[in-house]
Amino acid sequence: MRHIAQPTVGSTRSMNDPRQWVEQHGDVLFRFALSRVRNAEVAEELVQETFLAGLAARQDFGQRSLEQTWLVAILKRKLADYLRRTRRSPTANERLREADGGADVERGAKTMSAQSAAWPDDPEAALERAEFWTAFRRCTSKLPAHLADAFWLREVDGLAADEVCQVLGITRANLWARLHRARGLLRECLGWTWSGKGV
Amino acid sequence: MDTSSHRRFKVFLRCEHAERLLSDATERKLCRAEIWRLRLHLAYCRACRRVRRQLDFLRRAAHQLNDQLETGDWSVPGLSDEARARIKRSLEHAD
Repeated sequence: MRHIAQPTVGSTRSMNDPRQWVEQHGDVLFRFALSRVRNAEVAEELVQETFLAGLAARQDFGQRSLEQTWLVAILKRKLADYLRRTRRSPTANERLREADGGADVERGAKTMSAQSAAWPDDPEAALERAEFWTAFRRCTSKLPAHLADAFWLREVDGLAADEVCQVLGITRANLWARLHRARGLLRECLGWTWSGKGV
Repeated sequence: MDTSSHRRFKVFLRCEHAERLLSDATERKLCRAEIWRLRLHLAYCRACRRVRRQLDFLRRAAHQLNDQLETGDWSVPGLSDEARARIKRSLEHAD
């Protein structure tokens, strides 16, 4: 983070000149949106909507937050609206698992602990490694869309459970089952990725 | 959902049930019976203790994922030139 203590002269102009937005924040917002909706056209649309909404609400932007943080917050709201409209639903197989209450998620299949996921000796150190984040992102992008939506909204964005349920149009029990599935798949995926890499 | 309630009260959890409880614990208050059974299970099941650590880790990593947006090497292209130009135009019109 740069020195927020001196937002004067030069930085004030760039902080608030929307003509700079596309160059300054376009890529970050686009990647954020793309990682969530997995469709470049939709992601572009969301970025555009975000900038337009930001432009309209420019006067609400105080110096309290960084411009990018502010724009990302707007993008998150646009994203939630989009998810509310589209409500990505589970495939038939996923639906069956959810109807089971998710208690026996993978009946007949190996459970999470039965697999020998290569677990790093020092997980904290793994958080500092670029390879970990690359693997983590790749794994989240492999999740079925409806599980990814639940995981991102609840675990990454930190939305309240009720809000997530409302956005996705699901019950609490559905949400618990989806999170459990998502965590299991992520763990599995990370285990594969790490094994043999000697992390 | 819980078919076991009709049968004898099960003291010993199967691993998949323990894992589900570990996951659910972040979302809801487990009831006392669940807590005790889970504790007992974790006391003797090393694999599930590891799963617990991994779930904790996953959670911490997830919280940091958004922060990685700016710094991370996303190996994803940014906005295309067309989109960039189009968005710029729309901003100019709106201003």
